[in-house]
Amino acid sequence: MDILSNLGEGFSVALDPVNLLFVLIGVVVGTAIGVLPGLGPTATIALLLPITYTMDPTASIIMLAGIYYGSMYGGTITSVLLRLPGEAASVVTTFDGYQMTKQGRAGAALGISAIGSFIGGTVAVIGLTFLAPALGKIALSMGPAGFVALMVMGLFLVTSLGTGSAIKSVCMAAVGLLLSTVGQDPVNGSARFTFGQAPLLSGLDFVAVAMGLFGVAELLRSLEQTEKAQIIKTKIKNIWPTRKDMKDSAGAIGRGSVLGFFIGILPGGGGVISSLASYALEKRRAKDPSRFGKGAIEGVAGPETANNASSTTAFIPLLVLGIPSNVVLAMIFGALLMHGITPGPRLMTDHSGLFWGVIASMYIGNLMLLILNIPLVGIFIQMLRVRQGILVAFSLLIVLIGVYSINNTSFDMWVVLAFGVLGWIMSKTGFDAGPLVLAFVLGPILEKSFRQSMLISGGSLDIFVTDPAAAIIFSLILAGIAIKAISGFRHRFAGAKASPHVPVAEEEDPQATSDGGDPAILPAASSGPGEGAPAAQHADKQHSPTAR
Amino acid sequence: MPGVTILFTERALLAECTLNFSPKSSEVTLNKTRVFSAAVTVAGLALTVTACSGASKASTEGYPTKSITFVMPYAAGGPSDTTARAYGACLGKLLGGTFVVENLDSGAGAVAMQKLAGAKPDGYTVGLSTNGPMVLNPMSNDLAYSQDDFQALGTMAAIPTLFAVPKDSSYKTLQELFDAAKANPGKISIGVPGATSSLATELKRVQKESGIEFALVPTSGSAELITNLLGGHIDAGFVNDYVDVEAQVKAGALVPLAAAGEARSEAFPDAPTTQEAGYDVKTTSVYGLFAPKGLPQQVSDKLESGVETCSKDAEVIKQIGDRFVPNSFSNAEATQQVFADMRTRYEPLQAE
Repeated sequence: MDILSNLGEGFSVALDPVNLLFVLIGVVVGTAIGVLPGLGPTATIALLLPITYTMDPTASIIMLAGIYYGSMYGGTITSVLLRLPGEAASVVTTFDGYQMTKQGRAGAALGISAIGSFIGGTVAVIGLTFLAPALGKIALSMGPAGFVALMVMGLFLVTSLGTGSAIKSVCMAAVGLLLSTVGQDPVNGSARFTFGQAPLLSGLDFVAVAMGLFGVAELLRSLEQTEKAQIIKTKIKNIWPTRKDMKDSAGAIGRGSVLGFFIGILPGGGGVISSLASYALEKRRAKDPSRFGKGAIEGVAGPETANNASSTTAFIPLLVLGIPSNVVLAMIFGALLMHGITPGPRLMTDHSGLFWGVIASMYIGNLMLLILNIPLVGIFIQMLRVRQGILVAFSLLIVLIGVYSINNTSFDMWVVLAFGVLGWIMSKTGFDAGPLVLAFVLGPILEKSFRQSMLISGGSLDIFVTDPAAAIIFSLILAGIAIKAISGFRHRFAGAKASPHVPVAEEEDPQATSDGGDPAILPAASSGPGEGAPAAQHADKQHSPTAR
Repeated sequence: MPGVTILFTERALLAECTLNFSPKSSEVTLNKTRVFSAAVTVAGLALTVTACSGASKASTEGYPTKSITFVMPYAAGGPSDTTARAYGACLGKLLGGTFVVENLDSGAGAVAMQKLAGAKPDGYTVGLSTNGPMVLNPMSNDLAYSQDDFQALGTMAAIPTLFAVPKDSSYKTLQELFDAAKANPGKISIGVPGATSSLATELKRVQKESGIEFALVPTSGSAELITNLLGGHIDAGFVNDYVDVEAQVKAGALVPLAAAGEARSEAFPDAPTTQEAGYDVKTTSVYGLFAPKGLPQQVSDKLESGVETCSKDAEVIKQIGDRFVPNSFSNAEATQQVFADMRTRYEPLQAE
């Protein structure tokens, strides 16, 4: 086996004491910065980049990679404990993770995330080892049309996430899409909705928006509650995941690994879509989907696993094709260049020691993260014992510093505060921030890809059928709608027989209203992909538990 | 590193407040806690905001006497960042000061340029800039700065450009590509790295003047452009002739059709220039060192000669790449002229 001997060579590189040290430094730094909200891997690697210029190339890449996947786990901690998602992929984790914290199950949430992340990461590295060259091609098959399809699928999933009414979720997703249009037009470069503010030319910053709507809003909310109530709420019942937790999560972790592995290969947006897809899949498979958003452990385990798996496979396009698929990987690309190594199709043969050394270091790094994080879970949850007043003030300061560090402008600090207030108002009025934030992430990719597709095809929509990737994804979406529609009709038929009288209270409920519109929406959805589909799917999903 | 300093100041402040308050904490009422948190928050916020805008005052005698801010309109990791860091380190060693590179990539570089334009012309704030943020962005957007607010100090690096196609493309020469576009107006797609990049603007100028109509597809950068080219989603790419493209060409995945500069590409001497191929398409990404206008003569002289010395420094050349550091130094005046010419070339385009 050629690969095994290569991997052996890789391990001999990675197990070199110096390189081993840099794996450790990488994952420790990664976890630490992940814990500080806002201070993500991007800012950290930018800061450390000059240092790596004097280091051995292999050691520096091993360290930077460690920071990257280490931070993916670190980001979970604040998402779960404080509802502060530091990056797009951990937004989904806040839904159930933070609810678990409120129920005193923070330890279980963090524990299962550590285990899931380890499994997801390891599965992805194994896949990377054996399938990397073949999978590199998949990344290339995704052109603008493919991305349009993928983003439509993402939006479809987004609107099925909320815990409130379907209509509210769709509204929030629409607001998210609108907010994502702020900034320079991707095709002609003209400024949109910038009101003369130069920082807005590149749009609102994701981290500022997400941390405002989730974190700052939650901090504001917690200030309303009395000190007493807080203490009871944060009382820690059990630190470790129970046997039952493990059993409940096993399937989610397995599915999350596979989803994360494949979706992570797609450049740009892969990470978010993988955690989104995992969450939606678990919610759909669950016997009682209403538990989701209220502290379902599968809702943490699946997306966290997918998230880590995808952050590992994101290295495939870089290492195999020389194409960095996100900002962090672009910086790793830069670090390689500084050493006179150009990542490209020939990296694997020209610098096989580095290539396989980095891959082998990922096995070691994932193991280190598990060993490191399991005992640390106990320490991190002690954070919740800190008096609320102090914790809130301190978190807010860290958030502001973190947000400042992204673009080095104080403008983003006002953005995070403004979105904090908006998020607080939204939570008062029952609007979920999740669909808004995720649509905000997908929006720019959708717009850019759609307009690129239209430029390429000369304005013809045929490109979404003739492009193989787009055709496959769109048919998956249609199949999803069809299955939902059939089972929905069946369910409603059975439901109507069982309980002919719909309670009055439910009729006034927006869910019931959207349910009434269901049959009308469905045919429309199947004729034109994407348009009415999210609403229909969501209404259906929301309805099933209520009807029971 | 402003971020780090602020972090510590605020930690100290927080610690102080906490200490003052903690003895009473057992009888703290709900109200007080709220007031306390709010106070700390507001104080911290005010501090954070003010700490970010420290003004600088220093004499020109014995420049530099303190660290110099090196503003960068692009994110860390790209060729411009490498250039800024390599020159920053070299200039620091040469002049005896520290150049702190600050990546301000928000607002498509406008934030960095605004900061540079608004800084005191004392030599303690300099910055890298290129066609987009310096010339094209203020032309197409209503910004608080213009090209006239800056003075050039010299050219640090220049990245040439080229036309490339996927390896199995049916277009073997630039002429075939352009002829195809002429025969099928708007049907031949050419990727350009960014809507306001100089490459996009140059192609728009060519379209307007020659009447040939391409389908210009702006991507969010070279990486995305190369991906689309490798996957065959676009017909051709007009892209910076940088190492990322070079690696793909060497691996046989991409084929260069023509170099869009004064001379042939050092990496692909077999590909003709656009001029040789019979087309007037020309653009180069010039990385100049700039300062706010009105620098004292002795400071600008020091920086200009510093850039010249560094452009011949072996370490700088090695880090940026031999073929991207011009062999003959383009001084302050020449660099100023390059950017002025660019403005004259593209202003008629924007007038529409």
